[in-house]
Amino acid sequence: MATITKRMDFGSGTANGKRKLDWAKILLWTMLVSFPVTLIFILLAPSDYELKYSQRIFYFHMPSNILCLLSFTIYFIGGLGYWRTRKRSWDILMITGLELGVFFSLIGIVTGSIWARYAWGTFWTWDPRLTTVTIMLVVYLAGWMLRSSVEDPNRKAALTAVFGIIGFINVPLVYFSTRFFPAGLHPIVFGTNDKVVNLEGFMTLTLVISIITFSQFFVYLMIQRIRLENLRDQVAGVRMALYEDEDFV
Amino acid sequence: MTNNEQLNNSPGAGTVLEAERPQVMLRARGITKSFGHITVLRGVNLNVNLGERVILLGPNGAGKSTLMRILAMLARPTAGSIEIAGIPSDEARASIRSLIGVISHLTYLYEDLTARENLHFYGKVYGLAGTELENRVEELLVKVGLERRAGQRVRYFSRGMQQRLSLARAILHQPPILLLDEPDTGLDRQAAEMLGQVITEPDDQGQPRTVLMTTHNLERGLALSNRVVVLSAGRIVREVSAANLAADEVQSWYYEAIRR
Amino acid sequence: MARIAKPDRQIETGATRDQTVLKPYFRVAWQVFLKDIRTELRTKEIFSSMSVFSLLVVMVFVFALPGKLKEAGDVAPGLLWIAFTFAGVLGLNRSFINEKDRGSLEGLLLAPTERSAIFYGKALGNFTFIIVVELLLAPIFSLLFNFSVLRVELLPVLLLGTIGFAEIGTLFAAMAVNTRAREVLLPVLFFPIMLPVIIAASQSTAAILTNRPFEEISSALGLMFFFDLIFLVVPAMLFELVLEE
Repeated sequence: MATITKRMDFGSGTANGKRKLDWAKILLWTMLVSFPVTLIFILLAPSDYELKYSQRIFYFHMPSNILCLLSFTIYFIGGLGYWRTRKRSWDILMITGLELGVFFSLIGIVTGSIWARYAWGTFWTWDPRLTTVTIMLVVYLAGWMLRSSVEDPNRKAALTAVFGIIGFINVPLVYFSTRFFPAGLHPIVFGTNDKVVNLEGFMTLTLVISIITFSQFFVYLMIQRIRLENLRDQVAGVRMALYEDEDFV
Repeated sequence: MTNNEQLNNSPGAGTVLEAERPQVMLRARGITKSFGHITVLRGVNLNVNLGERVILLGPNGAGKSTLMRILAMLARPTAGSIEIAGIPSDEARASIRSLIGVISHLTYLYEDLTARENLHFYGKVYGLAGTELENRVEELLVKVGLERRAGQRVRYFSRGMQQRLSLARAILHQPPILLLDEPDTGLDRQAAEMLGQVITEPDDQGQPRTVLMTTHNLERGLALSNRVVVLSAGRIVREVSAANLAADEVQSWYYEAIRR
Repeated sequence: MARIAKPDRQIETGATRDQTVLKPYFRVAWQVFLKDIRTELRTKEIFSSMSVFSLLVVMVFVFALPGKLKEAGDVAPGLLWIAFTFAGVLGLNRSFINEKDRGSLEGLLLAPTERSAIFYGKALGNFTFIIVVELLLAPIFSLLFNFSVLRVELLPVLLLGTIGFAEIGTLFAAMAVNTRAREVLLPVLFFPIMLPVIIAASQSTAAILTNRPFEEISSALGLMFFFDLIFLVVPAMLFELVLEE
């Protein structure tokens, strides 16, 4: 039992009686400050010349996409780790990466298509990057389905790991393949990225602040997700210990 | 020629062990196996010596099958180590498999291949070839009494015949160790006798076979074994070594042992 | 106590390595392949279901699309590859479900070699089944659409695409067979991952059929080649993890 509680404990402090630094709590408090600050910055930021007010959604869009990529990378790393070691802690990392990745890619896609509505006059367009992100989302949703359709926990972790590794290797290939896609109404419109490069100072500052705030949120969610999984393990462990005498197996 | 070359090249790994066989053919140390939060095996220690025939008893869910699967290299233990014929399993998982013959309630046979084709397939997988394979297959077909139906698809075989063929498949590569997981499920009388014969007879080098088996048929199991191991809730709770134990005698202490 | 054999990891010289490690490896892969082919020749189970199904898919296309023959060239490459993909999934699904349900998968797992040998044997078998069905389907497709897709230049595209199908499909079929909704799960896993290949294959097919220059498809072929190469190696590395308990 002790091994379960020790593993990846981000210091809820209660498990072994000692009080440790509770990062989740600290992040929660800092977010109370940073969220309003970010919002103020976003509202104060100058409007884009062409896109007017709608451009502000970009401050949500870009951090989500960065974090989505980060999450899937974490999932991939977890997969590699599990492949080498077969350790539960890597499995927990995989779940965390997978779920957060799906969550942030959804935010990214929704904000992106709202923005597209104002920037390009349509909610959806098949430009390479958008297509890639969509396919990525579908791939990882499939991974989620795979995970939920396996009973045995060891096999569940193993298959999740395999799929995570294959899926991650595949993403760049999908990106290149979409170049062969017949271009729709908006061929390579994502030139908007060039505009971002020319952001004026205040805009850049706002973007940086927004990315920092989102990252806080991301780390907070990650800690809590890992903690949740550890707590589940503890509960299940205690339950098993209670039944141990009764020839439960 | 190193020992290792012999192990991999020699058709029928039996020849590997010609000179000196280790005394302990099967050694399990602290085998623990968990499926998530459910722990099936909790530190099982088991030695099976050369020529010993051990019967593994235990209630349903005691972990017998899991232990057998781990020893057959089909499953990996969560913790603990295994040595097969003195070779640590994590160093040579692949080649160790050639030292083991497995029979379970699954026959592992291909229904759409004939009896002969099935044996040829498994023989080649285990590295037999040419006339040696031919001779071995024919010899075994006669031995299990299927020589007249060797050209027929396994699909049309009765359960008992399939089990007999499965027996031939398991000893095809002359493994020094046999793992039998409830081999008598669905066996007809003829097949059961054959099973007993295969277990007790010496192998082609004249060495006794090392056998670990689980069974539901206590009397038949006891007649074949010279040691009884009782597994309960993932632990070995009792070991008695003696030949020809009486069934009712075993039964009386068996129930006492698993109650703990 | 005598050690009867050295573990194979410790073999130093290349010569012994060939003898002891690689030979059983290829032998097992080859035997698994031969066994699959022999079984299939006897039962025709995978082949018949694949070909009938792909034929039906093509017929549905013919009826569902109000066909002006002149436009067939625009849609034909895509439809052809959709038919191939659907048929492929059907066959891939059977390849491990048959082994699992009859209990013979465990028999294979007992084979004294690395498990990736089973992967290569199975993948080779699946590749053969799919390519045969594709080669049969192409003339029928041309006939029904009254639009010929029979061109020698298409063969490399067909090969590259099908190799990718077989590699990823075999891995995922082995994964899906140990899950609850196994028959449904395979396409769900398979299609998104196969998208690069499907896109590249149908684009290069379209380019070839409309006689566009080779430069236009070279990058698509390169992508497929790259895909095939990566997934020739990666699934074999992960296969042990897929099948172990």
